[in-house]
Amino acid sequence: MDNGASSYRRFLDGDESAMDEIMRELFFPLVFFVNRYLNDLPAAEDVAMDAMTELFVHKRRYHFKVSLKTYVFMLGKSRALNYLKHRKALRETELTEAEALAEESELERRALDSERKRAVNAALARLPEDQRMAVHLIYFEELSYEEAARVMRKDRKQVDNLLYRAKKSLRAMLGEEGEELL
Amino acid sequence: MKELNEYTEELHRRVDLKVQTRRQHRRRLLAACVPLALVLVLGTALVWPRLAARFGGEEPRDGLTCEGVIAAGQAPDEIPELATEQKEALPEPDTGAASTLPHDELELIDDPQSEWNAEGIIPSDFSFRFIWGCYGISSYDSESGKLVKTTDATRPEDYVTTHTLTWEERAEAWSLLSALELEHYPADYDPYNAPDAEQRMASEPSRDLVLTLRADGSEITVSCREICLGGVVRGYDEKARAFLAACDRLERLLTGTPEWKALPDYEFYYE
Repeated sequence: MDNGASSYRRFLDGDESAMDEIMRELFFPLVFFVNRYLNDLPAAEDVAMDAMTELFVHKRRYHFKVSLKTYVFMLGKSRALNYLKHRKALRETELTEAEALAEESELERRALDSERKRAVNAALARLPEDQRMAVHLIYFEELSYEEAARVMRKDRKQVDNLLYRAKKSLRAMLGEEGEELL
Repeated sequence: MKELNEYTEELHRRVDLKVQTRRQHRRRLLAACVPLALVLVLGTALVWPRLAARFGGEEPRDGLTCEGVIAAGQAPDEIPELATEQKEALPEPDTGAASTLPHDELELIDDPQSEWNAEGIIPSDFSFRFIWGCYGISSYDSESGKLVKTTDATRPEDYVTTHTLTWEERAEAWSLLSALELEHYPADYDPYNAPDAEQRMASEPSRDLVLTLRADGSEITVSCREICLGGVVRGYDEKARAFLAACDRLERLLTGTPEWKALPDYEFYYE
């Protein structure tokens, strides 16, 4: 599986339908990932859309040296951090708490394909941000340690440590059941 | 949440918009850059020859070499080294004025004297002494500024004044004297008679021309004692004619100064 790289090649060759394939494969996971930074679903959708737009407008920036998914997540992360920097100026849509919960659970359903992942996701909210991101990228998005390290701008060893601490915390929170989930 | 196809449509819309915006920006940039590039190219083409002449001294400046510009005060015929085309390009000499550098050339330089000196065109220790005349000897020493109209007077001290060279005069004098290459002339020299000439040109009365150049720590003097008065007689070769032309130009330069003109008329005239 090439995480959309072959689709992107077809897009570069002029096949517009390849855009739709990439969207289908990466958009919701990207929104879900960005929302971990923003905790604001409409904003996360917008930021994810921006990242995808950048991918298709600047056609030669992606150099195929990392998987397309890694590259898109890197774009998403940088856009999310940028958004956080200017959050006050950019905030447009306010959802009620109930709407927000409903939206998030819908997104979770679309982005996470198994009950097991959803159960872990519920516990993730209580972890520090770095650990949460490491678990998200490796267990949910199934990136390799190296790819996750690239997205997080850390080295492999740091990602290893984060995961170790995240697992320990999750075990403490979820008990034996949690150990099985991971 | 919207459905995936709605997001995909939104993506297509955003990509199209962004591509259009980028194209517009590129067109605007080009529209701004093309005239700018033209201005730069034209500006460079106009300014470069002048800058090159000013800093390099090798490129032609308005069709003149650097030497040609400085020597422009001379009548073209008096500059034997110049090619015919260069002579034609030279401006007419201003025989009455002390400063003979073309005015527009002077305007190019904000602080000409310091720039010329800073670039080493004129050695800082440059000075000259020039003695000329028939009965009463006239002289000038640029080091002291002492200008003597004549020594043949009841009160010679009335014919002495001081003149400090303006930078244009200094530049012109340096140009004339350095172009002559006085070191290639004998110390005792007769520009009207070749050393091996069988018949010698002479006149009664005769005249003296003594030219001393001091620069770069050395001093060269060429003395022409009791030589022909000249007039219709020209130097015996190109080198001699260049020497006489330079002396003539220096004489006109010094006798054109306000200080010279302020001195009393000659007491004695000779026929």
